[in-house]
Amino acid sequence: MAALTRAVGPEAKAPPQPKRPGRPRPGWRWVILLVTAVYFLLPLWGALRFSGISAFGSVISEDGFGSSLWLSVRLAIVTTAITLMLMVPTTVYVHLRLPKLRRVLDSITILPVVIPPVVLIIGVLQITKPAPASRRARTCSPWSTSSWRCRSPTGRSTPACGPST
Amino acid sequence: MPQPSETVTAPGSLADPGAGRIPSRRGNSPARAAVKAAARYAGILPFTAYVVLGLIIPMIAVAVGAFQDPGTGAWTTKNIGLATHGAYLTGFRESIVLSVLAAVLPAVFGLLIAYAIYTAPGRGGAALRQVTITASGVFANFGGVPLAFLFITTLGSSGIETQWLKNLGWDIYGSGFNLYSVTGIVVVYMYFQIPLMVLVILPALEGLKPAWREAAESLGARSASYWRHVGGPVLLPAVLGAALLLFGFGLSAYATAQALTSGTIPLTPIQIGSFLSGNVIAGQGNVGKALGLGMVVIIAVVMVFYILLQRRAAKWLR
Repeated sequence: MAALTRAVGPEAKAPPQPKRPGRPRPGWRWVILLVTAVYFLLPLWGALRFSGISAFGSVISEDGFGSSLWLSVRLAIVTTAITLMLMVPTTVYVHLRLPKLRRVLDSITILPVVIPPVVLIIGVLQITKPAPASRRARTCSPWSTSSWRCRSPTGRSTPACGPST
Repeated sequence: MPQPSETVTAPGSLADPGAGRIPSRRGNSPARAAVKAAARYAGILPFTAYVVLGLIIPMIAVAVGAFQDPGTGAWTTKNIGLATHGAYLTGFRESIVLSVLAAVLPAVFGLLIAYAIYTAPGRGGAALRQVTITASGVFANFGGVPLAFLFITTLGSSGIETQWLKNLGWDIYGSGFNLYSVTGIVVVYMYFQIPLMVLVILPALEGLKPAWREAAESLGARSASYWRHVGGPVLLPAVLGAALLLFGFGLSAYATAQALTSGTIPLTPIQIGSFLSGNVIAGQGNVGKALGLGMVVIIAVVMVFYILLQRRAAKWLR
């Protein structure tokens, strides 16, 4: 069937069918993409205007900025390295040797996304629980002993130290 | 007796049936098969250990703690009772309402965007696809304080967009909008939910084979009837599954809502967070675990439906 259509050539393509049918009218697509672009770019622009370009210079010399950034970078590097070391061999192995487990692996890897991180943290703390007093420091700073807290843009100190979503 | 499945030989080596299956030569006693199977599964041991240590044991700890008295450690259902009444019940309700809204709306918009890209023609379409996928990967990872900041400067009560709209004669705060309400949180959550939907649903859309469309058309189907009888049913499980994923993502999101409302809206993750930071009435220390268990139960139900839908979706797409 496919060979037949290919063989007859373009000139045999008779009545002017709506070719590549189902394609929406271009206007429709542009409206969607424009609205999307506005929704995603306007907040970025707003934040940039609000804080001003000059803020980027002063924030670098801000007290504690360097150590916070370094902590974030270290966390990112270490977690990425562990993830790669663990998941690349496992994924390859499952695909090659245990294809039946692929669906199971799929489902397991979704769990950490949908299980609320706060719940996971409660569980981890329950197991590793030392004295209740040192709990907070442990939650907020797994890498250094100094107390580290997240700050909201208004400068309020919040206990929001979970993952970023 | 050689195992048929083990005798995979290259076409040329048929003359020598012994080649290439030395390991299976000595028969296959049950013990040997068991050892082989065990060796095969040993490859996923590190991953399994990690999942058990990092996911399963903490979950069990939450479940056990939910039924224990924080002081004495005795078994009790008091925590569960507290977690399913009053402010905590409101928390569950608000969380579910928020997550449903923050799943359905992004699912619709994400599907529209993915469809707009999927149908974009030619080289421009390919470029558009690349840009969108890259941007989605970036935006899907937005969250927490930075995301809250973006929206406070834009749609906050003195945000830039709010001022613009006011100058145009539309006072959005006057007409009921509030960034620091459930509606506001939904608007903010869409910032990472829509890209996530695009990333999840685009492969499914692209899995629709053009041949199906051509077949439907050569049988006289119009666009609407193609979507009703072929495209729609094939795509529906994938779309619903993606929406469930977004629901779970919205339910577990914590830092964004916390940063935005600083806890003024009763959402279950924020309530659990307040247990973490030690704002606890004496004797209620384990109510946080009961709340956690409640969320895990909700997620478990969602996951069951998700897996069923995935199975269904995989029937045609893949």
